[in-house]
Amino acid sequence: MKLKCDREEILQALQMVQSIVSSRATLPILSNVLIEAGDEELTLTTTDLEVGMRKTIKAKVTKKGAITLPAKRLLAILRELPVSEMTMEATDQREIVIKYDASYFRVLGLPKDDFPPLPDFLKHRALKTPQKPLSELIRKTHYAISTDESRYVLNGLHLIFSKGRITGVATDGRRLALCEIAANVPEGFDRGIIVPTKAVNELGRILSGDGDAEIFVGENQAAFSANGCTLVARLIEGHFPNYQQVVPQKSEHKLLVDREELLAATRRVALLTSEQSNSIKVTLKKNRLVASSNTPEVGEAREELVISYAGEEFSIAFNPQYLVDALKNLDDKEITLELTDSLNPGVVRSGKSFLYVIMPIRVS
Amino acid sequence: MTRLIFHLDMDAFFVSVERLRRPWLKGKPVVVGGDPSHRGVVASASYEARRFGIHSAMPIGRAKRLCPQCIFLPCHFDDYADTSAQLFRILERFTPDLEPLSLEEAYMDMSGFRWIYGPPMETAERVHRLIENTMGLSSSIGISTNKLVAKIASAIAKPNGILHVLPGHERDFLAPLPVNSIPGVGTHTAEKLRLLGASTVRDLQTIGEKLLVSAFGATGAWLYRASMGEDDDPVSPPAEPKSVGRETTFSEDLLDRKRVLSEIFSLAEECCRALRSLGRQAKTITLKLRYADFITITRSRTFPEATDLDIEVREIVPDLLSKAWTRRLRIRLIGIRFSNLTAAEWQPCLSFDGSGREKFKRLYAALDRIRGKYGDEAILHGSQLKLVAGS
Amino acid sequence: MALREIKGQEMAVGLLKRSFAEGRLAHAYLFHGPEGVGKELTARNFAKLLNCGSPKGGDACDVCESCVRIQKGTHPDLLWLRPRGKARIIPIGEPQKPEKGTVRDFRTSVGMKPYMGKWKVGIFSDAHTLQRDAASALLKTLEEPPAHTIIVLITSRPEALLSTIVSRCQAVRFEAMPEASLEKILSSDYSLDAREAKLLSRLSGGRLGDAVRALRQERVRETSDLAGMLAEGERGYWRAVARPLELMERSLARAADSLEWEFAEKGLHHEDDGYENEEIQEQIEAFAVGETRRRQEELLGELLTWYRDLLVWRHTGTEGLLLSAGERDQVARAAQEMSVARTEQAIQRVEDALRSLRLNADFHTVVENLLVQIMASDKQ
Repeated sequence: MKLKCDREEILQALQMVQSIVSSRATLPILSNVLIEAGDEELTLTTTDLEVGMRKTIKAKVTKKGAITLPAKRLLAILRELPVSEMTMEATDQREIVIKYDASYFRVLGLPKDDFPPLPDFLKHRALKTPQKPLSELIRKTHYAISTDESRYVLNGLHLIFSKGRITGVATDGRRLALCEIAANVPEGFDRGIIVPTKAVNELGRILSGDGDAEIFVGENQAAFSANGCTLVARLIEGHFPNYQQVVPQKSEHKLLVDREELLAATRRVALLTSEQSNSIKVTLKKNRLVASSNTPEVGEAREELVISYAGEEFSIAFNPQYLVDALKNLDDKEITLELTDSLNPGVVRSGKSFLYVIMPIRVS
Repeated sequence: MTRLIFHLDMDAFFVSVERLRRPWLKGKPVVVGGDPSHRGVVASASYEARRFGIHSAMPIGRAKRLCPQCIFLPCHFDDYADTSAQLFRILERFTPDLEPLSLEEAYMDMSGFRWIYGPPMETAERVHRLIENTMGLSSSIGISTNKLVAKIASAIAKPNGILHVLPGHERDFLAPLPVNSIPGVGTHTAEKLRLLGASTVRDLQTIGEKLLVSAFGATGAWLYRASMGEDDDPVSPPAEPKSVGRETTFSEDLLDRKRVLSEIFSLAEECCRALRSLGRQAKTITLKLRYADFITITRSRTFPEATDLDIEVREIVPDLLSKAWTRRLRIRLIGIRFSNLTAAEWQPCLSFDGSGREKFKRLYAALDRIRGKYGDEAILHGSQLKLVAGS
Repeated sequence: MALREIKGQEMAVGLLKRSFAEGRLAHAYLFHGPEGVGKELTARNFAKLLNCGSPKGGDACDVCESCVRIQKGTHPDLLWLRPRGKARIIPIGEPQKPEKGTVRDFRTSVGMKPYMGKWKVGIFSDAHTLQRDAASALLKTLEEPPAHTIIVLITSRPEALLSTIVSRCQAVRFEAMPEASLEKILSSDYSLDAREAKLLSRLSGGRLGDAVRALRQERVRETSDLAGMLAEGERGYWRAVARPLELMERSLARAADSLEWEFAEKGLHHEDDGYENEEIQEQIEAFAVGETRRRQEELLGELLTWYRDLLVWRHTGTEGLLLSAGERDQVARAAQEMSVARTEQAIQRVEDALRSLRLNADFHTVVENLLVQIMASDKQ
């Protein structure tokens, strides 16, 4: 392997892919970045077996080849190089020399053979969709993904591809966020997959700008490509629970609420909750929504919002974080709050595309 | 600071509650307790029945011999519990420092409320009147500077009276009373004291601490202090329950799985009802089983989500029984305990399986109300019908 | 290698091959049997068979990428958990961010689809060292295993596992092989001479792994030394114990050394944030603790065998029944010097000592006590 490339470009690419490299990996080679020199291009690949990331940049390749190098160390070197162009030459399977001006670095790595292969998705059909809505879908749902490993199907974002749209659903069993975007789903692409948390977070990172993203779905893995970067995610086993079941068919009360007002009130009232008593009370009165908290040995807080409500007075308790999570990730000025009573789930809707179901806290 | 303690005790509580529902029982000797075949013991006796020498914990058979014209009623615990809840809601209005002793009895720490409520006697009268007016029941209240003297005072005030032992007069008030009027002095201790020549509290006061300690050890010291009307035990509201359990010993050891299962079901149902009235749900259920040879086995299981619903418990119980009952041997005792209770505030899960738990919650709430009104046997699960018919 | 090359475990290997061939794989297997008979080896090669790209004759090809990766331990779908840290346990791990090698991390991994193979294979070495809550967490996985998952629990102490775990696994029994078969393997595959092969197969109680380990550590000579010293009778006792202890400590130092190299080779040293070094030190120390304990037990076990032989010789005079590594003459001479009653007493005491050792008593104290007792009874 021998090539010449722009330092800034390779540095940026490495910064992109190194985020998933763990210093405590099970296999030592997972701390390394795979560097492959092909026709006039250089590809950097990392993986932690859960997520793989690959970025290709231009390079003047005089001799093709591949090697793996310690990612963090290579990053440190590239950061410090005082030049804009450099050459890399592999002297054998596990050693590379970086040259610039009259100076050089000789870096030891490991041969590429032990690097876990990333699946090849080129043969698969791609779904092309604009990045922006996809990134919004992720922003509006990712926080609801469960972190409890005992129900592994919930440890990811459920993406459903159906005619004309992509639906994203995430739940930790106590609240559920659902977001739908329009998409040109090719025929035969219909299916549901569960993308693990880490991959979802990385995906959120690589989606930026107005261009299109490409989605490939394989049997065990899925790939997402955008801005020259490809993310390969290992999918979660099993079937996502039937989320339609938890969406209340109809609610007694529908209220239009100013999103930012409710968000700010919730945040403030939540200041007087504690770990043992982590709930705020939402009380509906005539034309008023009262958010309040009352925690023994801490104190109480109360905020009132003017709304339009004519029904009977009643209260429901929520984990304030659940409300905040959803409200802060939405954009609309007004949201719809749907409530029935203190036992039944509450619903937040924003536009036609977003739905959020929260199980109230039971207070005895 | 001198404390102000009330001891409130309802008069013939179970009987009085029965009379609310059956006014024609008024003025008649009534006994509550036991079952229709007159086994078991007296749980509560009306003052009319007490005149015949009937008292609580006496075998029903004996009570019947003492007073054949007496009216014997079975217990309706749910009624008593409901009425009791109502009572405590009233008491809570007067002080948060409330220590229930049973369904019908409580200590109230009223210290420092004088400026709000006025003199103690007036406050006690207000409590007394409020209970009488809203519930139609009579009560007795003892007032003193501590729990011990207040309790003795209410016993003396009974029925339907209020007695205030003024601060500084505790010792003189107790002096003429028999030793066994001190709660905790039973027949056994009283007998020993009689041998020491002590029949009244005054005798205890004169015997002195030294001699009482040499005769009774640590209990002696307590006895002396009690006799002097001293007690600094604070009024302590009940601790949070850690578990809810019921067990039953069979009258004859059982080998019939169906019978055993149905017994467990009814214990479990009782527990679920107790959980619901506590407003708590349990994550863990433990089954206890004692074989005829007294070897005891327990097996536990954790629910996917904390529950207080009979229907969810019923699903788990048969399996639990199979796990526990592995020997082909008769069973003499069965017990069910629910533990790992949810906090007063807890976050339930969304139900993805469409089990519609909320529906069942409302159903059971309704059932609880009916059972409370018409007794346990008003609604039975199919599997329990035969048992009742056969008993 | 592949399953066909595993020696002396025809029953176990046959069962696994059959369940693969007939497509009747269990979700979980429990490999149980004595130490050093090939349970881990079989597990690794079973994993190869399960994921082999081109299996032949009902066994793995051992040449495809999958087989090679499993052999090297770099297969992404092979999840191997072993006891860790000074406590020598398989931990449950932190709730949100479990470390690699913990049961929580394992559960997250098997919750995902396979990376490249057909099956995710989870292997638990010394499964009896699963921390209690780790075992309950694993139980949940066994109750509802994610698709494409096969779990192999390995233990020499199945009785120390939760019965609920055992009942959810298909048990696969591994046994020590007859000494004669082991002898044959030792002389053919490891080119030992007849005397050495016989000695070693007897010493290792038919456990090939132990025999090979002993071979690597030149244990044969060590143990015959021990027997020789024991044969000297009373005067030899102290030396008998002091010498192996010294040898043991020395060989442990060697083992720790080689372990350090092993880690270095795996490339763990290239990060210099200090963390890995500490972890390695910990692992080495933990290994040394575990290994020392094993050797201590073996040493007492050998004493037991020795006294047993004295009894056997007294009663039968048949050389073929002797188990210890000593020469016939030595046994005969020692047996002459010690009455049956005293020998039985000595056996009792060694057994007591073994028990205290298992209860974590200090080895030196236990051995001193033991020898003082045996010598005192000799003088009576």
